[in-house]
Amino acid sequence: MIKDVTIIDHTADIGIRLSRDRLETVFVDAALAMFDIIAPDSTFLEKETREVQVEAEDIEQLLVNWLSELNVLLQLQQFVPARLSILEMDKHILKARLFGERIDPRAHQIEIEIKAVTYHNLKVKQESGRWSVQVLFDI
Amino acid sequence: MTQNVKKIHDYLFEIPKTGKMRVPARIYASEKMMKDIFKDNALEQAANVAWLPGIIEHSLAMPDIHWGYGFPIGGVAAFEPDEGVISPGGVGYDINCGVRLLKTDLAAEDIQPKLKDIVNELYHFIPSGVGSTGPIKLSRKDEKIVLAEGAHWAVKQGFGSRDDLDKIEEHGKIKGANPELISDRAFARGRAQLGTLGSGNHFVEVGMIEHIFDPVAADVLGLKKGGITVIIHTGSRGFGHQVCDDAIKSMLRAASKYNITLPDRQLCCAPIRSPEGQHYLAQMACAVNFAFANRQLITHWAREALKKATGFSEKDINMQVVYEVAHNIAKIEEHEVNGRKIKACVHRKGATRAFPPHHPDIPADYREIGQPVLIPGDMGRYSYVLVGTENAMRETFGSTCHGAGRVMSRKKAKQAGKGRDLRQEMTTRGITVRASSYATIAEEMPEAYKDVSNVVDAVQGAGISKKVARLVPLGVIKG
Repeated sequence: MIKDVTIIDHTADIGIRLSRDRLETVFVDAALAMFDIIAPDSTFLEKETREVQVEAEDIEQLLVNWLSELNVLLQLQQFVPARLSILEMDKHILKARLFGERIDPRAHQIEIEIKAVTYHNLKVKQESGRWSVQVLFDI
Repeated sequence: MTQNVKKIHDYLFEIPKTGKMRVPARIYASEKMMKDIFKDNALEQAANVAWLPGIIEHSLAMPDIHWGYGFPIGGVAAFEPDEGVISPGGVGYDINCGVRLLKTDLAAEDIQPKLKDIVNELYHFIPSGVGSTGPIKLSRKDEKIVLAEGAHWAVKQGFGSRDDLDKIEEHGKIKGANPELISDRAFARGRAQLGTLGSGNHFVEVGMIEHIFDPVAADVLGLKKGGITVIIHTGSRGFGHQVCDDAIKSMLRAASKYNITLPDRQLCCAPIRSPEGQHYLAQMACAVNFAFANRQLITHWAREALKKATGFSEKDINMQVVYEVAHNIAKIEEHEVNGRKIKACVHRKGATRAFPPHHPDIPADYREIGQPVLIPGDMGRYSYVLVGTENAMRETFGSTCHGAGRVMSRKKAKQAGKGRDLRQEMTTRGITVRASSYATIAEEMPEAYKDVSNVVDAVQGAGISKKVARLVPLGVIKG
């Protein structure tokens, strides 16, 4: 489980809030935190790789598109990343390599299905030299 | 916000028009329910919806209102055809999440000894749970037919019969779907999940009619006390989620293009008449039809499951559709506003259509009593059948509530479930439950939900629906 992440515990839905020194780190850790919500008691190994690229009009939408892309990879290929490495990133584009594996029902338990990554109370901000994000998931 | 709310009558409150609100917001709820409603910012969301251009009369909220994305859940808003907007947030991610009620000729004593088998067979026949994939793998060409034809496609493939279709909202196929506007990603997610129940609060439930409030209406609907029923609650799965996600991206750009001021990004929208607005209507219709097809498939499997588990013939079981409603949808409907008839775009997000007696859009068999409204409660208590009223048509664009609403977060519910044997607790209450994980049962425990009777009493008190029957669960499968 990734540390230093606040879970926003809503009646019907769930979110995350975290701060990191670097933009790339906060995006990577937000992704890991999302998968901690999806499969809290499972460990995933680096058996396969995937590359993803997302684009957006602004940094907030970039976060939504990034997390959505990972969620869709889970839905369509049952792939969960154990480690994510950002290859290229600015406010409009993000390219990353993912190291993970496909879900094996004998080893992994998916507990929550995320319907969507929402724009509600979405935050990607630089404050006091750190990058803070907040995002809610429709579950 | 608390000071702003005016009481209109015992079941109706109003937030007057202030600031950028174009119309007041109205909330149907009892005074007691309002105390809870104040706690999350659902009221602020109802007020935010009132900012949107072309909104007619009021931004409405039903008694099961709770916080959502953009529009509150339990929100209803109608827009003028010319100056009004359409908003994916006013429909929700799970487009055409809805409820189908089926009745049978079985009585409780026919199934009590076989309840465990029934639940196991339902679980076996109907793919459910997080990440579940459906058994039907379609080509792109065939998937497009599903999106255009909805439940009609399923019947043509041998899942159920034409008799099922008459008793579905829109007869199981909404017009205006355009599969050419659907993204590859939505097709891929739909292909993987057609014919699955999903997870969370989706379920198939075998129950019994425990109490009749309105014997005349119950008779028309074929509901008898002690009769065994089946409720199916599910929607458009990953297909609908993706259609909504795609639409939100497009609508964020559109809101900027058409200079629409948004208090909340999830209220992004476009004029109904714009290309973006028309595209969303056509894409949403595809997802609506996907969900109709999905519930038709699941009905077929429910019929197979009951046959296998009970040993009774299809003729003896005689599982028939009573009605099916959508509770996340936007429809173009004719309504009378200040004496003029207009084709309004009515958004219902966590709200159900509730048309009155004699309305041409309800099945001929039901026109004397009004459109059936199906309100599922939690898995431990009860569900309700109601009918729509003239008052609903006058006040809420023919709309009413949709369900109970949660009071406990999933995390808190899971914690509350630790150290308990929830399945056994339910069995002691006479209810057999099967789910893909203990966590699901915990998340869906009865205490995690409001008492749906309060919601139903409020809509009856407000005169926007009338109770017909109460059902109790006997066997439930959850994803």
